[in-house]
Amino acid sequence: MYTIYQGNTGSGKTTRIKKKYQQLAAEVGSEKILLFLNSARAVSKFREDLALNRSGNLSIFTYFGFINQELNRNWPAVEKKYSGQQQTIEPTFMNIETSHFLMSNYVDRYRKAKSYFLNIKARPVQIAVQLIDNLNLAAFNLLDLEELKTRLFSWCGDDEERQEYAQQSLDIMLTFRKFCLKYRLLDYSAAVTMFNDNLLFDSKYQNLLKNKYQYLLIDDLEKLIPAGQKLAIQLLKVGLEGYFAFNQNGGFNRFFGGDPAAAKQNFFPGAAEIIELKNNYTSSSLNSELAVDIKKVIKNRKANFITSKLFIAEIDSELRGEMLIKVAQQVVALLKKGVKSDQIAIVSPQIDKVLSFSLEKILTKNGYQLSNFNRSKRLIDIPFARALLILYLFYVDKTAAIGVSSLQQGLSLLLDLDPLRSYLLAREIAASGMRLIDLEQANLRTKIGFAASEKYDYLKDWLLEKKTEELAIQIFFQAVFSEVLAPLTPSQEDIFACRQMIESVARFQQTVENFHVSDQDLSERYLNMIYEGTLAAETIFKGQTKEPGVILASPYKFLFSPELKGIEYLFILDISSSDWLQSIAKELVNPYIYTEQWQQNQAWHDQLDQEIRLNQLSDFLISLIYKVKSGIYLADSFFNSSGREQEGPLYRWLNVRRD
Amino acid sequence: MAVSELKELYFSQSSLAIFQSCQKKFYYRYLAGLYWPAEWGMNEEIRQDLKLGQQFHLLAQRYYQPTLEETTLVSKQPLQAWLNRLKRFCSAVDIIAAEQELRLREAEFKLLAKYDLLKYDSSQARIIIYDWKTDKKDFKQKDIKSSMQTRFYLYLMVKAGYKYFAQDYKLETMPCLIYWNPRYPGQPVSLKYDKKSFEQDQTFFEELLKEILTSSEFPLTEDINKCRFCEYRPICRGKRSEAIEVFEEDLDLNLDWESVEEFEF
Ligand code: SF4
Repeated sequence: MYTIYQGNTGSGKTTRIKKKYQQLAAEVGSEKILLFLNSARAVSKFREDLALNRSGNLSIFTYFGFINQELNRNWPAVEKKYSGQQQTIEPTFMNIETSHFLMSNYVDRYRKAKSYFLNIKARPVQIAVQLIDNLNLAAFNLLDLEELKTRLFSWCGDDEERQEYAQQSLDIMLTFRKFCLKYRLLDYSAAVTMFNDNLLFDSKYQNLLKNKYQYLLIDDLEKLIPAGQKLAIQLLKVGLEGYFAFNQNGGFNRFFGGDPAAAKQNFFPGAAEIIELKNNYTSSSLNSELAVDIKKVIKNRKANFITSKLFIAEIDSELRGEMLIKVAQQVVALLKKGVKSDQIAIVSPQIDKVLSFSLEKILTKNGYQLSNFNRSKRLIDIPFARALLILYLFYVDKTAAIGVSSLQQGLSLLLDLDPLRSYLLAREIAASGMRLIDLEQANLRTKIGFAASEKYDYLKDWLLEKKTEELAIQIFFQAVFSEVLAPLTPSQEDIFACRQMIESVARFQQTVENFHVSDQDLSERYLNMIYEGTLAAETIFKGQTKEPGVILASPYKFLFSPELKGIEYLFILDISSSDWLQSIAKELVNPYIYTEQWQQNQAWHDQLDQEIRLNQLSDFLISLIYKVKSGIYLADSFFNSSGREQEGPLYRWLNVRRD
Repeated sequence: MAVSELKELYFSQSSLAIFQSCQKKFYYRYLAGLYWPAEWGMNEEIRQDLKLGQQFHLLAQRYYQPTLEETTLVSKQPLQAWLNRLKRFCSAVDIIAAEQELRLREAEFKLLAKYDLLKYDSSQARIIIYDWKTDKKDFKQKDIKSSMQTRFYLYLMVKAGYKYFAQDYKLETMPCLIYWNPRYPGQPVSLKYDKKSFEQDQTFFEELLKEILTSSEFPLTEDINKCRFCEYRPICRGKRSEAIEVFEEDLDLNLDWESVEEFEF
């Protein structure tokens, strides 16, 4: 028996789920309630906000968090089912970077030895990411590798070159999967598959779940991947009582794993009760009307003049730079009227440096802040984490990868030097073959100053001394962190980035230990790839880095940040940009083919591609609109930042320019 | 996970013990977030020991919690021996829960403990708390009776756990706490609790928490000896640490790392 709360963004569904959780936890104890949320951040936020006087274990998970736990606990049974014997005490769960690393090694090897992917320009790691996406999407949609193959080939149609690439992709994916399972290394796709194949339908396992949990709560049911939906169905079957929240306009992740159509089909017919939440806390009927209009206009693809009281103004310019200045001025005007800065959001599908820089400049000049949610989150862009890696590269004498500007920034931080002097020093070091030079000989002591010279000498000696100790990577990192970096008063974000870097290497080594006797060499390559930015190790720092500011985000980032709830004013920028209509398909992966909607004999054609792009656009805009309480500004320019005419169709449909 | 605000912090026995030992260390670890999992920077032998400890806890959890299949260990000495000793020492009957967390949220502070095993003793209508240690020191070398862990575990069990479990269990007498180490299977330490100790602990914890919550400065310890083994020595004293202490219970903090990984395309 289960109940569904249905409503739009801002109708209070999550609040209902939270209340229900607290009520039930107070009655039966927190461990009896299994709650699924759709991101790790939502999980930690939910835990933090809980208002229970006494609680036990909190069974609050993302779907992946849950299957990880279950596989780990029941590993002896899983392994026995899988291979007939127990080989390991527990499986190794790979982090994303490690699986990308392993896969890109295969891609690299096959490219060199067998000339795979001949005309594809992408780097091995970019290809690896696409192959891993294929494996993930198949697993999330409960499709086995045979079915993956069928779909991949039917997507290729008669195109021989693409068929060849599909076969090559398959060869590598199969080798990768075989390797991982041999050593019990689980990436996301392998974990989901192992769980579904060996636990989910086992009646004894179902019984365990039945005895353990009494209630199943799911927020954002429409975002739950099909494999997660299957689990929910099994849990209901064994008798758990369910409370689910469903957002009919929350389908913007439909091709990134979520499947709202399937969720509706699976859960609506059998619901004991569907409670419509009409009372909209963040938006009013104006929002729903506008949403309906937008949906219609995009569907019909006809120029239309949508009127809505929510549209406050249109900001229109020839040049993008001008438009950005006008936007910033309008934002400042609102702020001066007393609107709180985190109640204003600027959304554009192309968050580039020009955009963030122009806005930031005007806002800071007026004493306000900008919170750029699309800011690069790569670990390597965080100065402390980069310094950690640079020192490591010096330690192992692999300095060829280090660039002068990166070294300059590192020295600036480590020696507390201004940019000019750190540049001087970096340049000299680079000129001598990236070796730590003698300041005296290079005549630099007076140029960089006494204090910095002392620090430099200390650092040089410190590194020399460490070399004699032949430390393992983790121990070296630890030493750098505590002896060199920590005394430089790092911020929480810096500390977090360093910890994450160390953690990433530790997890990598833990993985590699399973199959590689000497891990030193591989770890060096792994770190090199992080340093070069090929492995996108991203920071997962969740804390507030500074004062809340005006929000700048792409539609996707905005909608996927659980901390961004309702806002007063939304600025939708660059509406004639074609980036509003990006294709979901890449060279080697197309998420659509893994969905239920894909029919075997249906070939991929431009019209379908267009339709999907349009649906996605409609989903994004509608979800955005529901976040707005007071009004929307539309902004556009005739030319984009590189001076090209903008040709995306959205402006015609919304007819902002009225031309 | 670092939290920048005291009032958001769930206090555990290790954070309280650290505050008592050195306020600066408490500050670095829990407020500034200068924290990293215990095994980093340890030598290989200690890392292996810690891993063994973690695996033993996992096996114990699997043994006491209903799972599908028992773990059979082929040539995994000493784990197999430890597990056999555990089964002999404490069979899987009258189990309330393994790896049980308990949280208490008061107006001013929040407390959290994680118990390895809770059993129900129906003859005396009480809960028995088990805690597994796997370090090489035996209990005689430690002042375990008056340790922060002992006081905190028992106090929180009475304060929060006895109400939390009241629905399912008749609880009339005070809990007891048993420490056991598979390296020393014949030397469990069993500690009783009474009303008087509970009241003393209540005052003790309330005062300690009040002190922490009203602190604004977190001074360095005066006992330089403590600094020798402290990971923050380079920051506080400009010297390298001699050998970093490991708190076995710190390992639980590593769990945070498991839950933070995002999955996004
Ligand atoms: S080094 Fe000494 S003063 Fe500093 S945190 Fe550690 S124990 Fe406290």
